[in-house]
Amino acid sequence: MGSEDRMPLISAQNVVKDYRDGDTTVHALRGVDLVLEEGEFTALAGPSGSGKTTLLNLVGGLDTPTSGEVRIRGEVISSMHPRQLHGMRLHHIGFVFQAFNLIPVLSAQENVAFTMQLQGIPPEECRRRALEVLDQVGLAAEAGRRPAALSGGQQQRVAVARAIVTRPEIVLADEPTANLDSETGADLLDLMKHLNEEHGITFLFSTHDPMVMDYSRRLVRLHDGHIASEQRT
Amino acid sequence: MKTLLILSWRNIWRNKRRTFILVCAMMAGLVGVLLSMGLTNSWLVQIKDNAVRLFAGHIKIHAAGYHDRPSVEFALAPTARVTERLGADPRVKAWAERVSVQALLSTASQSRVINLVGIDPEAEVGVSVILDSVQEGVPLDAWDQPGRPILIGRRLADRIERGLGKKLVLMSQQSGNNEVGSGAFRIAGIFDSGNGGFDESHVYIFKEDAQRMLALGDRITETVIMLHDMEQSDLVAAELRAMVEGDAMEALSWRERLPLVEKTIEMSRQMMIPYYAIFYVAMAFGILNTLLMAIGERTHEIGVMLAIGLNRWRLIGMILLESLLIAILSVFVGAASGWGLVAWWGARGIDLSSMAEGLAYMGVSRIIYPSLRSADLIGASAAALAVALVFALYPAWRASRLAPVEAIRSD
Repeated sequence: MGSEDRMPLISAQNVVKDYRDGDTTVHALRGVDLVLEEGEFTALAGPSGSGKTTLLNLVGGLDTPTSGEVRIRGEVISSMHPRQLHGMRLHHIGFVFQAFNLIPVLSAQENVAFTMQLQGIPPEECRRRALEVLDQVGLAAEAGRRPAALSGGQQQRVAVARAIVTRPEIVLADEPTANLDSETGADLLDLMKHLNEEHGITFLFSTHDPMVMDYSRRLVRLHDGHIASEQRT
Repeated sequence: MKTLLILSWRNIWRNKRRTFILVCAMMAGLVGVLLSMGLTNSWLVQIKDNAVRLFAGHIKIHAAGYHDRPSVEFALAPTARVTERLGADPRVKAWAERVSVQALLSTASQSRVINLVGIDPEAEVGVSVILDSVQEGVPLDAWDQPGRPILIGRRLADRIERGLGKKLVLMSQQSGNNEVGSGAFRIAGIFDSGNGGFDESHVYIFKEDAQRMLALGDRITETVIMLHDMEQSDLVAAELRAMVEGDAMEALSWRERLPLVEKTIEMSRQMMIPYYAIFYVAMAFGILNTLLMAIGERTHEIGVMLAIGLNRWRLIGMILLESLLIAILSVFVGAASGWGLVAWWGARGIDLSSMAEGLAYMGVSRIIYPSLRSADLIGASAAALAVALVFALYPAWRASRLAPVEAIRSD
């Protein structure tokens, strides 16, 4: 990854993404341009089918655009070797999913430590850092519990901990509050905002939750695969 | 690696019932293979043992050419050099000199060709089990009635309808002339070796009686040798052969004299492989089905793991580990159970009296004793592990081809 400070963290240029759905072609993104700077707390909002999750997946390297380019620190994702792409996801990007998506047979601490172990960090340090981050998200006491023994809000906090423990540059959160009640959702957003402000982690959300939109400092609205509007708070 | 191991171990217990069923199925398959091996070993060992114990011995020394044409013309005087050598060799357990030729056995109503064996009972007891197999009457050296004693087999006694004390006449070519030697003998004992074919074709008299009848003087036709360790037969035979070659003699191990026995054993083992394969194919489909189901259920989770940084090779490794762990459990329990069952059955024996006649002609006794070699246990277990790994490759490959985005979308 490049180290030029002025270069945007993420840039999407004229990104088009089409899917085949049987005999039909679905135009999920129809030429999207987006630039994200380091430290942003940005939400992609829009109704279902607007392309927000698709754009998030493209930024995360989980999918490739039909045309156009997505760059992270100037490097074009779609031209990366799969191993490079995998390394980028492992070391530079954290993911928070709508459905928590913790590994059910691992404890909270083990879930958080998982990505560090994939990075090859020694087990003792993995355990220590995992516990530290769980403490940051207020779940140190639940470190030994498995996801089934945690509430929805607790699981999502563990997911956030897992996403940030490797100190990624960016966290991509796909509808993180969708399965949470409003109070729990607000707590989660407070946490993420704190991480953004204190540690400089860039957050990019996809959401149709008004509460998330209110929390974000920049709101990009998508509609039918286009960016319909942008506003900063 | 440790994390993947922990993950794999916990994954296999997500569905305890399914894993338990699969382990039981694989265990049953392995037990089936081991039992089959045990049974196969029992009759293969019998074929070999009977051939050796009843008559062939571990090694025989005789005149060159005698093996191909066992005739009285090949009789030789005992060689002191040979007996001294045998006496000094710690590997040699026992040896005995014999006169062994084909002869005609006659009664008032019938005649048949048999193998006439003249023995020294005191030496013979160390090289064959015949004298211990006398079921009726007495062994040769316990005969205290008038007439020369003869031991015949149970089946022969039934065929010629003669019992203890009855008279038989033996005739055979004498040595050194064109005369036919003959002698009358009284049945002193009837033996039952468990091998009906052998019992019907062999009779035993004193070596001296045979020598007199065949005008041999002090000559013998063969020296039979038993070793403490049968596996050294080829080695010791080679050494003896080198020693006696110059005297127009040869020393042959049981393998060299009975190549058909060895080939039969080897061929029988090979022929059982397709049968064992049936068990392994069943295990393979069990593994394949279980893993495909498990991966289907975990597609979403696999997509997430790929998204957060698990690479495809580690994913494949994780799935292979799951299969291997199930197999290790199954092998552990299956091997212990199979070994235990074979040992239990081997101690008691399996009575196959209903098939005695057919078994007899194969050189197999009525009662068989299953047994397993270490190589059987290791081979069968290793094959189970290999099957588990090989048949996990396809599910693992399938999982590794999942596109994270599509996988995450699935339920």
